[in-house]
Amino acid sequence: MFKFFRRKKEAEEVIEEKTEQALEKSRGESGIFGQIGKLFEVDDITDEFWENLERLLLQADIGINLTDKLIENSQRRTLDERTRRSRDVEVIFRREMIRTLAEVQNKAQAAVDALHRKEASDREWDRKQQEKQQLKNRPKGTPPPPPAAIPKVTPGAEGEKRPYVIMVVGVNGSGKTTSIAKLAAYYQSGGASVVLGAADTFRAGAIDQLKLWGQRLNVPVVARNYESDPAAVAFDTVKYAQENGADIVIIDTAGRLQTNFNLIAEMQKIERTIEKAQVGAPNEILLVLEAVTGQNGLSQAKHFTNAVGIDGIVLTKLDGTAKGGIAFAIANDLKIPVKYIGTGEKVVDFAEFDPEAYVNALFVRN
Amino acid sequence: MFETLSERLEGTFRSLTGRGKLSEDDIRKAMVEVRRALLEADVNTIVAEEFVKDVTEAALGSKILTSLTPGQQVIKIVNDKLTELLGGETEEGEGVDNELNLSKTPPTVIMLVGLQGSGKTTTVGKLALALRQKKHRPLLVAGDIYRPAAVEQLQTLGRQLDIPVYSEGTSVAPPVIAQHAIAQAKKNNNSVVIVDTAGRLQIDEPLMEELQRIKADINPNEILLVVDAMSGQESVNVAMEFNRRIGITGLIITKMDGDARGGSALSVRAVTGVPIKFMGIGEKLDALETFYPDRIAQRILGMGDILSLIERAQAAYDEEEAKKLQDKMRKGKFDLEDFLNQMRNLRKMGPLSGILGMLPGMGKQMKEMRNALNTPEAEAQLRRTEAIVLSMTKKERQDPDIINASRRRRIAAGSGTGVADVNELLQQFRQMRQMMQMASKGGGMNMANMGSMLGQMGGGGMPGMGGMPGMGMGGGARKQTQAPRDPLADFKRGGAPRPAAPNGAARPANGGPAPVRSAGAPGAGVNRPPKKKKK
Repeated sequence: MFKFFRRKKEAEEVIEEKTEQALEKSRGESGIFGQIGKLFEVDDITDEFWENLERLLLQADIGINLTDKLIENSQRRTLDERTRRSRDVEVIFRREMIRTLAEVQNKAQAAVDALHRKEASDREWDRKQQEKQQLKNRPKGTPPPPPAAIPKVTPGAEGEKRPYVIMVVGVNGSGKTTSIAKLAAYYQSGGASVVLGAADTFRAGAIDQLKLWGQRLNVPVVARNYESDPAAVAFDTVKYAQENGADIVIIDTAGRLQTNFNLIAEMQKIERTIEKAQVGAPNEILLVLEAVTGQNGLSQAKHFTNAVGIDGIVLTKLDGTAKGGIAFAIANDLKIPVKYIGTGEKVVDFAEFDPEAYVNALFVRN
Repeated sequence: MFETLSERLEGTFRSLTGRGKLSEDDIRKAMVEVRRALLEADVNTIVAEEFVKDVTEAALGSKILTSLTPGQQVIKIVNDKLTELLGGETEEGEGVDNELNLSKTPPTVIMLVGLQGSGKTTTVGKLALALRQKKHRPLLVAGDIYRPAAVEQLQTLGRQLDIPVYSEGTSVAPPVIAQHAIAQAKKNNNSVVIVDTAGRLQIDEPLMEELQRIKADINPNEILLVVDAMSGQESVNVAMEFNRRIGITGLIITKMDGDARGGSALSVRAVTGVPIKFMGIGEKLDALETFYPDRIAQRILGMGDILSLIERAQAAYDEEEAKKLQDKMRKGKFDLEDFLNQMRNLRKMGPLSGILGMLPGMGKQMKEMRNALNTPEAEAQLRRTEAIVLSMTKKERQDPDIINASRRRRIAAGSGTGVADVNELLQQFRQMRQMMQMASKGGGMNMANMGSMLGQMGGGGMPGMGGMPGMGMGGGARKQTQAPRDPLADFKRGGAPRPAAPNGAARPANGGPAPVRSAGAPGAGVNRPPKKKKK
């Protein structure tokens, strides 16, 4: 029991440390979020202070709408609490930011908890409902409940093992393949057996890239030739995982712009085909978004979620000076949570996303 | 996703028509909206602030041209300033700098740099293809030894294009590879060497030093920074740092085929002063375009990309053919053969949804229409229509009146449709011919009407693509012809007469945003909505 808690605590520390490390670089003179922390080192809160804050939030790609909202809310609370002290305002503002991210995260968590409670009372009924819902009524635009900490899929009728299937999507160059390698290593470290599917059959070198990662991680990669049908690759991968009793399947897909109708249709076909290979799959669809993305990130999240229903975001390339402020806007507008962050080119540069750790790290002063 | 600047300004200025000058207050109000629009397009905050200051100065006291409303006057000033900032023609008369700087003694050395995932390797391939089309003999250099399979990616591109790739695997340092490549280019008489480099963060000290070493060793004629059109505020810091460390000579903006407004392109151009040379507009290797500042300015303002549309139309239409067609229409001799040609011409311009994306003024109706056309049903309906026409004999196409019940049955069977579908098509065709005859008296068949008709044929009861400026086919595609008002349109599109255009929505000069002709809700017309596929 104690050991468990200790392990949990250690894990939390690691996440915090990683988040801090990732954000450290941007806290120098040029980093935006470091400046936010500095901004609060004034005695009194003035109009000029709010203007400066607005500029910094905009520079973090948080977007004009959410920036306005954050500032208005903070101003109102500042008035309510009758304070002009910068310390108090910092606390208020920090809370506003955390809330923007945590609301979505908590809602998703609450949904998981509710499911678990139900399952305990009437397992069979619930499973049917759950399967049905996953099949048909997956709410578009709102994220379906995320998996519990250790994703497991109910075995088939004959008791055969079914893998937990994750499909990874995103625009070109967002970092899908690298994120998949990281995700594989992450699940592997938890003792899971992982299979990768090279369903990006379009981009030159994509299959080789995934195969190289497979070799490095000692993870099987199911692949066909370039220009073969990506849906077929996905199908093969799920079947292979079923036959070999793997725990997790991660499907790589080609980068596609959210406005390209045909490619979005192709992605939907991959999803449908995975569902044919295993009822209820894919169990999780992750959108990979790079931290440097601007306001177009909203359009990406919206289009992808309309097409296949996004369960969460992998925010990549957080090791640069960009801090992925658009993820705040997406959480706020579309209620899609950030699940993981990528903080470098190595497989270990990866962590679960923790809103509080993230925002607090932004406010740390050098 | 975002309201366009023009829509916003129309709102701000609705009450301000007919005044001689813009007051300071008007301009201040407008600038709030201008700033918002720029920020939503990812223009850097500092650049946006500077820009707003500039525009305010230019707008203060400027006379409102008689043809424009105050809102449009501001848009015109903003548009002109944006174009200038993007490297368009300046008042000093300098032209657009979008040519590559080629070395007098070959080989010309071009080096591509940028963040991870910005599209360097793909762009190397595109650039090579573009240069070969200009009779160059390019050699590609695989200088990204870090990302797994980056070398393979470039080799694959080289094979696809049949262009040689120089690589030394992943264990030789990139500066050495680059030097060897140039030696080989000299030996093999390659006129251009394009060096791919690994994606790197501008704060990655060792990798930035590596770039400096490559630069010192091979002394490139062009160092092009590849910038993702979807990138946000940070692109400015990235570009400034790359520029400071290695001195970039040009920019390539990639992924412009999406719906990113590309404000980052503007920002990077503004802070570095380096010209934008090319834009990547698709995944295919020929999807690289020379950069035109005015087009991006319009896009940032949400005004659509009319010029590209006109170019595509010109490529798809033959003027000679268009004149003949116009003649036929006036005489009411437009037949199904012509209809088929027109439909194919329109489709040559790309998928309907893509064409609509280039239209200006994504007003409410335009958005509805775009959504309605952006469905597989609309495309499928067009294909079905084509199949029906193709199942007719030549004689039937030239003289549709001879199509009797027995012919109808044959056509339906031949095209895999039903007799009702054939009837529907024929009825629509008759209406269309009538409409054309009336319209052509007003000044020539134009794309607006064509679009409207195909819209109806395609999706059923679609509101027309009305009011596209500059698309007249009659007298050269660049000439402005106002879309003739279709007398039947009100009736056909749901009965409600169109409201008179409010003053704020008058037609602007110079290919500005065209007001979208108001039209009934999609599907409200006499035509049936598209059929859902039976399951």
